[in-house]
Amino acid sequence: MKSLGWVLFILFLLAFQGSVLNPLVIHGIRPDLILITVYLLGILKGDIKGGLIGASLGFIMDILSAGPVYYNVFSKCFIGSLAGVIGRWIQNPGPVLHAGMIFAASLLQGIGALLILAFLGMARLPQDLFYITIPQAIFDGALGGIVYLFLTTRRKRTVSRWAV
Amino acid sequence: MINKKVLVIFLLLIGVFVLLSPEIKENPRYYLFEKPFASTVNLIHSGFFLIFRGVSTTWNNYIDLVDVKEENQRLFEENKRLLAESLSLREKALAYDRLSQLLKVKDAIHTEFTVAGIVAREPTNWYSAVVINRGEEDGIRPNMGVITAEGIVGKITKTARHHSRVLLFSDRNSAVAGVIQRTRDEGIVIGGEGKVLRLNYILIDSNIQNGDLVLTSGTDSVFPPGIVIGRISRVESPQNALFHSIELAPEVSLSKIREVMVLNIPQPPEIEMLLKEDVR
Repeated sequence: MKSLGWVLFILFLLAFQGSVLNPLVIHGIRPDLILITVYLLGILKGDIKGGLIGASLGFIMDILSAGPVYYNVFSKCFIGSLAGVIGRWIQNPGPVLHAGMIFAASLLQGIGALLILAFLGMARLPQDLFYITIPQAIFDGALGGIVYLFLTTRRKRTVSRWAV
Repeated sequence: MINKKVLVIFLLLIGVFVLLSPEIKENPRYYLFEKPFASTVNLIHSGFFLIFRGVSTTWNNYIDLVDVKEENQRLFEENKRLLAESLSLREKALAYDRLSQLLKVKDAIHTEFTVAGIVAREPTNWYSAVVINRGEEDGIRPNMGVITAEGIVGKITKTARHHSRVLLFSDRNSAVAGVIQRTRDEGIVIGGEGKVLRLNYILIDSNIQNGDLVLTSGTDSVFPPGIVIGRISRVESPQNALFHSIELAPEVSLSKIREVMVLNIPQPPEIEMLLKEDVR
């Protein structure tokens, strides 16, 4: 039952990311909800599971994307496993730190995509960096921090209710 | 330690897959392993689209009703006498607009078309593409042009049974053969710079101006001639350059389109042959 819930959640997330009426799009920049999810799952589940979940989600995202290479399968796998390592080494991380880490992960992913595009002769520099990579990294970082804050607040509430 | 080794090997394998993936991506049909994922997510997209459209229509209708009520109260006394007549004229004007729009499109394209709805958009910010709810079973094939009544939208790049992917003209991979309506200079319109398009290969001695309309030239066998692409918004003529540097503002607002027309233009035999080879 739990696995079915996860599958449904992942399908919902993938569909929401490419939805026509996604309300999270600001000035044409849509946040990478898959990246945020993979990062948070990596933190919670560890590097191996994080990497595998990242690879699966990135793979489906690549199928749905018009990009010329399967890039997300690699970037999301890397981010998932990196988050797993970070989760093991950092004690009591707050939302600001996670926002910063998600910003860095998104920036890294964007620079990777930019390098692939540059290799294929399709990059437009510096416009792609200033109009896509950096705004998306800021957006992803901010949204990731908010999601983490929301999740931890809910968790604390649940724990304190049980403690009483 | 074993886990780390597994992870490193897994990442390396994925790296190899990434390097090999352009071959998969360039194919105009979905590969066997892509089909189940693409179909499932596109089906959810269609469901999402219907739900969101329903909610949005209900909300808009509610807002409209509130506006109409307020407006009616304010204007009731003043317009009572003219109400019947103005309603009749308004209906006629709307019908005229719709018919003339259709006539304009029909006159311009002289070809068969299939109407499709947009059910999903590109999930990343790097490319501009949409998914439509018509596929191979509806006669959609790769390389077909996609337009709206206002102008061109893009072309079909990948097809499945019930869905197809449209690469929008604003994408960095997109190129359309265009002609400036007033001067008849021909060039190539390319995307990739956000909401701005670029018209290349217009010779420096050409007398072009801001506001000139750019239409499809029809030489690319994707779009028939005479369909609106955009208007020239900026012209730079650097000294000693061979070509003008021209920016275009597209006529179609790509973020707002919901329905499109897929054109069924018979392709020249050599292009049909190339497409079949691609699919193989």
